[in-house]
Amino acid sequence: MNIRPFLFRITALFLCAFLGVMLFRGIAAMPPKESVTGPAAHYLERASRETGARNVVGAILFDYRAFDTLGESTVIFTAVCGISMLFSRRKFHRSSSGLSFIAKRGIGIMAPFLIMYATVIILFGHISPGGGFQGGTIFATVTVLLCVVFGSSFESSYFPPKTKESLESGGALLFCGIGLVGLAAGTGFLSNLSAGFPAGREGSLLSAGTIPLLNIAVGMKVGAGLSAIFYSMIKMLDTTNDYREGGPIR
Amino acid sequence: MSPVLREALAFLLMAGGAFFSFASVIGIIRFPDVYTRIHSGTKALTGGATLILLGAALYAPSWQIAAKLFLIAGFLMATNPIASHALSRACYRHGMRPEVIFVDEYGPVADEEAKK
Repeated sequence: MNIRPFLFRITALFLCAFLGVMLFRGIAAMPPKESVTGPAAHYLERASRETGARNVVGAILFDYRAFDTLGESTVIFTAVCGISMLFSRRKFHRSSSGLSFIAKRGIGIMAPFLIMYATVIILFGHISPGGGFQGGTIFATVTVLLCVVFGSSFESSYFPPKTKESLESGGALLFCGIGLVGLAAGTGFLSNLSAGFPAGREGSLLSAGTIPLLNIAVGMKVGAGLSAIFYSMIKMLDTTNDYREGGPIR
Repeated sequence: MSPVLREALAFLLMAGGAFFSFASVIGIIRFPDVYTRIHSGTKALTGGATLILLGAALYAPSWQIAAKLFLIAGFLMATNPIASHALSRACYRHGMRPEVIFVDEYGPVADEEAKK
């Protein structure tokens, strides 16, 4: 028996076991809800009263720490700017003609459901788990799927790059505009209920003041930004290898 | 159906799903070439995940949750085979051949498509 693959496997086994044990220990070390201290206790206790949102993560992201969220989504904006600048050299490109009939038909059936799912995750971000980032990513997944399965020219005819640009900038503007409303009300940038936004009934769709609006803004930004990144990259790939389906044909 | 019988059936389905998932892992490690591995991954994953979801749907406290789980199972059964279909087709187009071939119905079609 060759000794080296055997040693490799034993090492892999030990690594996996070690990782598993550490993960379980991490789960076991998580404090119960009663013994949480510091800001976390404040959030858990008062988030629904102070923001009107049932989803505490959403309340923290878009109310208490909304300024950080603005910075995070600006990171994506910067990445999109850089990648578009790097990859936009060639103006004319050929697109692949897509995958097989089965894949096209299947994705054609799935795509509307995926878009609906993304919309629900964005719009219900203040009630249930989810929010702008997650929903926007799912929306970008739809455009990536269309790019891969139908070819990038098909995708760009449905979602033109210009539209994506304006959606992304619109999301950023909406976010900053909502923040400026708080500033105009005299309570500080991105303030929520204290700036006079209605809290609504907790758990209903129209509640939690600015949180749903900020979710929509971030969803526009993330969805349009990620799909713009993927489109500009696959555009270049399509230009350099002229392939019919999944790589050069023998 | 009595609750005990329902729970027993749910656990039986979940155990079957876990068995399928385990078989899928072994298949991915042990099978010789890419197509048999894709086969093992897809079939056992679709079957295993679907069985676990069906068991969870039986175990679920309300019919709304069960309906959601059925939806998830339906989407898994619809998308997973499509993904592995595209994957194996891309592998064939890329020039990978199975180790042992008895019937190859796709080869002539692929040649014709390549000529176009």
